[in-house]
Amino acid sequence: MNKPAPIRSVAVIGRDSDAWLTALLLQRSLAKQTQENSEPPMSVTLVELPSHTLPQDVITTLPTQRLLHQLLGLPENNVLQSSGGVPSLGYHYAGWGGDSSGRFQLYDNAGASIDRLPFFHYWNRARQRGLNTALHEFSLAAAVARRGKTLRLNDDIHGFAGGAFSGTNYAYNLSAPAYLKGIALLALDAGVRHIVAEIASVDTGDGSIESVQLNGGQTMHADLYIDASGTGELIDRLNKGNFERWNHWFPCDRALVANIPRLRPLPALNRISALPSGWLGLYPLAARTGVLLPFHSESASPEQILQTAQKMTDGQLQQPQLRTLNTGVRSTPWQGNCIAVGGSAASLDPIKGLQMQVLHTSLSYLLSLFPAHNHGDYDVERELYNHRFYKHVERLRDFQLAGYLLNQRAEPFWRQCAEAPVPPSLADKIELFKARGNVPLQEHEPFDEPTWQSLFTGCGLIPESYHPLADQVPDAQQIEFFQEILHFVAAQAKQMPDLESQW
Amino acid sequence: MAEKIKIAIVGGGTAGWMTAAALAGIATDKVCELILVESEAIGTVGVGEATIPAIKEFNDRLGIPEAEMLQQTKATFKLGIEFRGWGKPDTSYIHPFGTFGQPVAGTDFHQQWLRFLSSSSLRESVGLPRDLPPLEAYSLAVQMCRAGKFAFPQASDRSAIDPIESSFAYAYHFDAGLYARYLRRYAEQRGVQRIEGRIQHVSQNPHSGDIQALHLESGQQVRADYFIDSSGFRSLLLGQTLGVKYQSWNHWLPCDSAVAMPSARDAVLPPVTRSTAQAAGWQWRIPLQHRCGNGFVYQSSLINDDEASDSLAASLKTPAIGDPRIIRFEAGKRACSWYKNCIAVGLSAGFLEPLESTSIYLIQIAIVNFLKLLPGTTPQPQLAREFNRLLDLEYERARDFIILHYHLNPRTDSELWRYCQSMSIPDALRLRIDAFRKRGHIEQYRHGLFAPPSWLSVFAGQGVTPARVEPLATQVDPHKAAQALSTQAQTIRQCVATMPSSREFIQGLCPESVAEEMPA
Repeated sequence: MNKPAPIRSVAVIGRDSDAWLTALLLQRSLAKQTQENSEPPMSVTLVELPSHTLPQDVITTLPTQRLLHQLLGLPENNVLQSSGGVPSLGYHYAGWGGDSSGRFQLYDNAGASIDRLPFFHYWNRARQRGLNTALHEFSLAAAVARRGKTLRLNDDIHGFAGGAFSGTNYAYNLSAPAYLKGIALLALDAGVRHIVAEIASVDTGDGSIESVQLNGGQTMHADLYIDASGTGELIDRLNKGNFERWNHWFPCDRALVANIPRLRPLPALNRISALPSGWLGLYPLAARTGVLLPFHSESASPEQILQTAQKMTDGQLQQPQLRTLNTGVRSTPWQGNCIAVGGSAASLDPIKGLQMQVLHTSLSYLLSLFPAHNHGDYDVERELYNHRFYKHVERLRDFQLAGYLLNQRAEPFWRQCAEAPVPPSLADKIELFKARGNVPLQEHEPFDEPTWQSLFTGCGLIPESYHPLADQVPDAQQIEFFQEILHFVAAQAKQMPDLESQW
Repeated sequence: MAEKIKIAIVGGGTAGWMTAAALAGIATDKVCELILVESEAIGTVGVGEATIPAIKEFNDRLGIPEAEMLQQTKATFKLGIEFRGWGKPDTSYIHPFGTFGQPVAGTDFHQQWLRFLSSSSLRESVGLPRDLPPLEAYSLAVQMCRAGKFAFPQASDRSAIDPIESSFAYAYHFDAGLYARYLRRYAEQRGVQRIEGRIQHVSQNPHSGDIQALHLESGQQVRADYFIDSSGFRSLLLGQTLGVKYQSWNHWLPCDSAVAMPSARDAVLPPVTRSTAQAAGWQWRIPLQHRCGNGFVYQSSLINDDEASDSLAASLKTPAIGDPRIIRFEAGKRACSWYKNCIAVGLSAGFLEPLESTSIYLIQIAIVNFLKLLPGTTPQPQLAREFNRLLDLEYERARDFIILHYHLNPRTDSELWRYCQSMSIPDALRLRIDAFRKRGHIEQYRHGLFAPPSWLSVFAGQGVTPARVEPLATQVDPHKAAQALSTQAQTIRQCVATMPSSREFIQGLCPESVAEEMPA
């Protein structure tokens, strides 16, 4: 092995959680003095652009955020307390089916398998024979949420007589400004250099960034540039043309952001209510409740939307503000020596709160593919990063899109959503599910098969047939097993901590 | 209760009886009715005597008692494959059914090993020996192979990092004919109806084109909802009847022939399959309890059958106990495995040479996916489409892994090797090689057999040295990493020292067949 110079400097240019989490992670993971090189360790400089975070913003996560926090050495209680956060068990969707029935998306999986055949297939068979207990009723999260309780954090569930219970899971709602402040303090403490500025100009050459002029007159030189601006401000200077817009699938182009007071009792689920030309999301926090109302600006005016929001929150709406949404993905988020992460790489529709997952995904690929040297030949790393990231984000998109496509509302906005072209990757999933309840998984998938099954079930899809192996267990035994699960989740739920007193 | 489906299996080789046994054992007679048609007049290919650890899952799932199976199929244990002459001349490496070392502070073990390998000053500064032990010193499975030892792996305790004692899995060398016979008994006991007879004609539904019935020479007709084609290379239903085309991969895998010749048993019963590269191909050795399976895979344009047979015979360490048998093949697969109401399992679906013992695995994975997507009486094309997608991935990825061996082999003693070094390889494989060559990066895929340790063994064994270590690995305290390396190698040495020889281990389980002569 020869010894060219390793990467010595990284400039993270961006704002908000994308920028601060990236800088913190790079500093913690890659900026230690190493014995191999006598040179100083890699430096991480954060050029902080003006924030886009509003005081009303809520960060929603997936359960995997806990792993990111573990990697960063952040204890769960500290994170939740310092950012006014609460654990979240999933979502309750109201009105999406065009009637009063609710849809649920829980981080838990339902039930338990028998003879290695997953629970879903037994449930599917039973439903075709008249069972009318919804799939989510077989998960602990539903039982817990209904009782106004929450899960004991970091605790496995034991004692299910029928074998291994499929387990529980939770994510977080975090108050964006408080979370951001906490991460920023940690990043500075870890040694991230910090410059507050705006980009004046970018010198590019040969498809790479040579330097970045800041508006204070300073010039940034770095081996690698990370675009964490949330909007692609940096990578756009290299290639503006590679942003694929997704507005034909996600027509909401504006959103109202606001607050209402804390909900009492505190719900364990976020509530997403469909409206004639958008939807309203309520995200519980410890001291307030985040309100988000994305809408299609050609179908409703901001005044109408504000009125709707006021009405739906009993006139308690505070600090309403508007924001523009621009959903889409960058097909090549890594170009030359510039790597887009988070919102700069893909900006998702706000449904299901997956934007933090985009950042998490880009950071895990960035860490595992971080260039070993600064010769500027990043072909292999770039190809792997771009391919994996794009595929991963496409699956996140499909997951979001299913809810819009499979709505059963009559308004023109919702008909437009339902009639949008279905991408082949999602069509394959829907078709196999409709045929038999199985879901094909691609190589880079953030969600497992039970999660997709519960999504499609929640959207009202009913498989035409059931797995023949579900016939193996006698009916009486299956009924007994179902009852056992329901008793088990009820008994477990009773013992779970009360959400209102805990948070 | 839904209507039972009727499944007819054509062919009673390993593929046919594995399918029959799995369907009978898992789907029972409540779900399907099973008929297997075979003719004793038609031989089976049955050289696939070396398996991979998935076979144990298959047997366990069916509730097959291991000791009984070992006795009846004359099996020995297998911990990996030794490749001789595939890297530098006169070198040997082992592709183990196990890992190389344990992660160090969240980084891949091989990255830490490469880190020390690349810098003598770093080794010195942390007190590691001047000559770093080879990668295989950190693989318990490889060390067991080298020492000819065997023991069962310790059950994993589901903690974050498995202990070294559970860092491997095992498979078997067995007599595939005896295994098929064993499964036949199992299947027949569970209600599979066996029909002896030759198929004269296959009739199709004139409208749908589905297979309707098998017409036997005896005049008997066998009707079914689904037909499993396990007819071997003939591909009687999928290929001949339904006309699904064969896609050749011989531009990547030019060997097209094999000669097989059993010899008297190797009394040591080594726990490893051996593959030795030759000018015109490669030779296998598979030790069973009662004999040794040998074969030579070659490119027929470089060497004729007689020369191949002679070359194989001359290399045998124990006397030959049978005549040479020539097998012709072409690497490739049918455009799809499931077409209309016919599902091909085994050689009727595709063929890959036995370099990585994938034949029985490819049968198994077809069965596993068929069970996952088990159809009902009403046809649903979505099930076939998903089955074909999964099987394509399995075949292509296994193929790429085999191509890797040929492509990396630096031999220049025949046109075969010179061609393989310079041929253009599949893009996905090109990228995997580039990623390893550049930074030791190996991606784990969701669908497909070979996990990162398998790729690592071949890369390292055939001389691909990464240009650089991943930056994350260099962030680990080198003292801590060096300590981990030393401790792991020592634990492995201690483990191996206390294990019985593979021969003694088999003797304990199958006292009758191994007891006679002790090795000299």
